Amino acid sequence: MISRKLCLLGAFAVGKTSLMRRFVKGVFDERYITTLGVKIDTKTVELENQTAKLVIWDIEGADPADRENQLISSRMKAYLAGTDGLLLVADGTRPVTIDTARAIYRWFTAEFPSVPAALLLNKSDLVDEWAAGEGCLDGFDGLLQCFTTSALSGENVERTFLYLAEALTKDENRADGDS
Amino acid sequence: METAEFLNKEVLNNARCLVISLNTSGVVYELLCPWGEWSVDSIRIGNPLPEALRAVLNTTPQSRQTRFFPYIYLDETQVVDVHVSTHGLSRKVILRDVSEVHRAELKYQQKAHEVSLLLEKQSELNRQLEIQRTELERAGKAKSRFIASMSHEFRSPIAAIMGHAGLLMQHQQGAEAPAAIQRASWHLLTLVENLLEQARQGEGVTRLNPAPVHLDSLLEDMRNLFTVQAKAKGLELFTAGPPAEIALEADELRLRQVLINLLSNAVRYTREGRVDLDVQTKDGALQFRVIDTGPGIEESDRERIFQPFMRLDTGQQAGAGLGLHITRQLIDAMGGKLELDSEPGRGSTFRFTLPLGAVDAPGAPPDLLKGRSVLLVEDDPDVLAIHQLYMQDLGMQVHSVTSLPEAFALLEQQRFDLVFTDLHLETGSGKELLQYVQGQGGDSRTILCSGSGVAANWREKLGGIADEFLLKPVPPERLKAAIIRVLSAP
Repeated sequence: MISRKLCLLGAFAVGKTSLMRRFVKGVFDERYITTLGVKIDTKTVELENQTAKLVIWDIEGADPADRENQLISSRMKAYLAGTDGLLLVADGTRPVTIDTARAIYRWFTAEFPSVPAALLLNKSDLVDEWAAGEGCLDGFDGLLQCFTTSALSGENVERTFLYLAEALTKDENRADGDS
Repeated sequence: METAEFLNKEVLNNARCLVISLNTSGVVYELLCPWGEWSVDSIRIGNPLPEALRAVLNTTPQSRQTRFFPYIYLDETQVVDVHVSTHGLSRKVILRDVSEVHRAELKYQQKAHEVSLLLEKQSELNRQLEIQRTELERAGKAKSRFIASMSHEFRSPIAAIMGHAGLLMQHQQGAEAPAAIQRASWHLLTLVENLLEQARQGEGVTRLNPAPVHLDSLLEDMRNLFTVQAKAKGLELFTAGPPAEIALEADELRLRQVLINLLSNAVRYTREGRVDLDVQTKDGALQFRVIDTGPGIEESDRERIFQPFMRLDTGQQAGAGLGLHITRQLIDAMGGKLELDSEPGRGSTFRFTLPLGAVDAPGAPPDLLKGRSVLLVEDDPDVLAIHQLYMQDLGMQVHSVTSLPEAFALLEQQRFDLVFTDLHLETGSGKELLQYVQGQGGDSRTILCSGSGVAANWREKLGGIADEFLLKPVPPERLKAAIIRVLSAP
């Protein structure tokens, strides 16, 4: 079975951990608990032509208040090493987190030019507070896809992970294996 | 860092460490706990590592170099730093338990994030408030423009009605119909002014147009306005003024508005007895009192009655509930203070004082106005007729026109002692005309008249182009006083 490493990255409190928990365990917890470091979980998924194991790294959030060159800490860099794909997460109700995602994306595409990335505008259940409008995708050139998701309702969560998993396993000749 | 060196350091630091040796299949074949007792349930000899640690291993290329991964969650409570090193075909993983220091740092981080989220929310709210404020400001300006034009629209016809009713009263002494029209017009004007004042409140300033007030005629007007209404209810109405002539400088229209509001209430709510309007000098000021023998106002209601659109539950439904609210504001704006004494069951007294002018208004020499020439420009034929009649009554020679071109043509031909023009003419602005008069350099005096409430700061606004500004409707006494003032000024 092939295995792919997938990293979740974005500003703090955008719902990265909730998205992973929703996808892997099918649950949601209202409480906000900061992640400091990285939580790693796996899920085996049935794709179009194969079964694959997704190893998901839920990486601690960046602080939008940090300067752009300090957004990515050395810890984050250690976690990102060898990743096959990136799920950039922003909170659709907090425009500042989209700016953070954009800055991270800029850095990421320079460091990992051939690794695909998708953007998740999370918290789509908060319709009244939704603030991601026209122009929010500016500065994300080359992005694989953008999804609006809700870890609370589960909207688009499975679809997004599977979409990226399909994209990452298209290259059948990739080295795989799980020691 | 080599394993031995790392361990030595960690041991010295009393850290809880676990050294895990893995065979080529990734199965644990040796477990060492160099300091104290520490074990991880999911790590046992003969088993592969748990998922999270296997993921870390898979990320690390098989090199002799040690790779370091800080803060890896083994579960919700246990967090470790992970060192991975490769020795030939086997690999070594060293875990250091950092749960405690992680917990402390997490607690701090959690608080910091919560505070940041609150600040972010606050700044977003501020941004939205700013947007709303700008929108409100825009709406407020539109409202002000609307009010200015509406007030003009209202005042002109009311001025015509009042003026003509006044003339009828002069010609038919004692006739009730024109007097009734006059009274109703004053009430209508006051209601309109109350509404406009309420609508203007966003601007924060009550505009005043102070001029000398003839108190005797003001009191007489009030008596005329309310006698019929009071009589119909079986009430007695008394007015009393100070014994000597006094010099009161006030916005007469506003002062009338105030007195009409107070007297309307007094007459409306009093079932039997009397209503008094009493004006006396007191401590160098002029005190106005409206005294009634009505039901009085309970202590608990005394502040509430000044709220806009507020009416006490007395079974009476007339009125918009704006009168007292506007009255208090107007009195404040005029430099006074509205006060209330009341005894439930006995009646109420509303009183306020206005500052008195230091010098008496100059009386006009008897022939000052006789034969003086005036160019009267007004495009509302009804208002034109009234102003023309008032001026003719003063013995003036009136040349009246309804458009700017006619006015310019007349000014080319002759000089006038006074140019009296409406501000908003169909054919242009009265300002143009006055600028032309100024440009001629003669000694003509000028009066600008308008239904729009530009009065308070008209001098600055209109840049000194007129000697006087009058707000419609202009009662004959006010017109006379203004003309005397501008023609007798040095």
